[in-house]
Amino acid sequence: MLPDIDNRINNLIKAVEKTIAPAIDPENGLAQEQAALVVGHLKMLNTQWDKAYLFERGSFDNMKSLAGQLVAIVDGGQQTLKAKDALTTALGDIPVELPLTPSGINKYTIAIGNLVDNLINACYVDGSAAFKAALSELVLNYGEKQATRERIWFNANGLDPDKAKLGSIDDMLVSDAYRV
Amino acid sequence: MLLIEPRVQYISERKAAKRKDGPYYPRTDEEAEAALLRLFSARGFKNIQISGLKRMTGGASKEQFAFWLAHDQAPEPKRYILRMDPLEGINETCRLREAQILRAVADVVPVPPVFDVDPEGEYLGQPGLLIEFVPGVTKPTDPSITGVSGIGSNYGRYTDLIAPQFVENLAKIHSWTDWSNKDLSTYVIPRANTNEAALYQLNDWALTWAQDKVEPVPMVTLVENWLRENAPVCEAPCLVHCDYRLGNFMFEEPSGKITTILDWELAHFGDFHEDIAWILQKLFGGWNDKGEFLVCNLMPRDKFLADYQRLSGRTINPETLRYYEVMNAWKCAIMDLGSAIMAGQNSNSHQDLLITWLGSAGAVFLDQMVELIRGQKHAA
Repeated sequence: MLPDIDNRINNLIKAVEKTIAPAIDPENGLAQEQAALVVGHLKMLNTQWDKAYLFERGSFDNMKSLAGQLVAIVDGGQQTLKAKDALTTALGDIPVELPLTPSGINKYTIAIGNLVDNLINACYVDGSAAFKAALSELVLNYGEKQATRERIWFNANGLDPDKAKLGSIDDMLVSDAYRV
Repeated sequence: MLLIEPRVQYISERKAAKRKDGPYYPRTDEEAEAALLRLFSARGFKNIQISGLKRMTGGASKEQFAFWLAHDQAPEPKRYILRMDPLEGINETCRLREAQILRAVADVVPVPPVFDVDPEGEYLGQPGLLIEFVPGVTKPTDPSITGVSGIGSNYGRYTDLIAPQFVENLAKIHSWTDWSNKDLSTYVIPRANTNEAALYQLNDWALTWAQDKVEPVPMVTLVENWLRENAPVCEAPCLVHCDYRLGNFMFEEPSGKITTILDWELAHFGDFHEDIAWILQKLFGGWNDKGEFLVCNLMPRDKFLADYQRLSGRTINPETLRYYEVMNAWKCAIMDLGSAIMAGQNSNSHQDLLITWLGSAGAVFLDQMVELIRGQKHAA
């Protein structure tokens, strides 16, 4: 691809930083702030765009793993079992050949995630005590791993109080430490 | 019956209904001035003169303009601030509630005097609140200070001057009980010795998540159920500011005296632990040169808790504090991963870029929820 995406993003950053931002009225605080945010977003996008598919694929794999772990141990009343059936069916409907775009695979993550949400809510209505305890542990385990992936992914925003302790995006995308 | 404050529910539903009216663009100075003229004309002012109108920067949720106003009944120009809602943002709150609480606590702690309120945006186009301009700064006028919306600021040599006032004012807010003769018609006060204080907040934010969820987040769903199951009893509900932190008060230079406490939009009656837990959040603090974590960049956690208990006469229950640390992290996750992203996707804020930037920090709060529920540690 010529010109490539890196090149175009870098040129956008250069144009805003070197030409557009200096031309903004110093009294126009909102415009200055917006220009700084445009540069910030572009710089963050530049660290992410090439890896977006792998990130979304990892998010999908984690959600699917959580769903599989939950349906394997479900125990409870009618609402819980109904939610389990819906999730089991959805897991069975996942195609062997997954979409190859970030947004395409994200649709499956959302679909499975909504059914996981339904199962969590149902469990709190009529899940057995043992399933509730196990569900809580599984969701916390998923939450820890997926939250760490997302914190690494967005570490360039500078807002994470523990940003210095987070690993790199490249390591996060391949390491088993972040897989559910 | 679901416990939710009727006015809060109305505001949430109003946002959902108006969402389709977007996209929203920042008001120009001319548009803001025209809106003010409509309001003041409707109020019967004659020979209205608005001057020096200028947008204020820094906030993520409201459009703010400073201006001077003179008219026949008040010919000497006086400076005011207009706080106006965009179509949607990182949180949705009520300008009428904000006006009521500011008027109610005017003799309790320093707050900006209310000048006018247009709760439905009948004249301003969007709901808005007008307050008197109060001199002061939210962070030292030192060019090396940086940070977005109070996040990451520090107070340098003002730290020791501000810290005791910060705790004193919080204790005063929580100790205030003289509200029976105030107009607080948009508020509901939870019943004492019940868990209503927690449930009102929980139901409010659960409704927000239901309306603003962009993608499922199992941790948010799990924690909503956990919070419902573990809602603590509150013996004596009090006024909770709900966003009491660095960046949300002004002080004078060089005296360091706090001149006003800002951003009461999330205030409600509830459990004082909610404010304590909010203040303790890592996001609002930082580390000093000894590597010690400072709450709101002002003081160590233990000192803050001890000073607060001494000044307020209240005893902090560690389990209740942990509950509200979980709830606050959950609320922040809802703001970041729900409301901010939804508003950005709809292009319905004057600060789409800023709120999506803040939204990208949502996982920080998911991680905090995991740690807190496992009981590993406090958020700070």
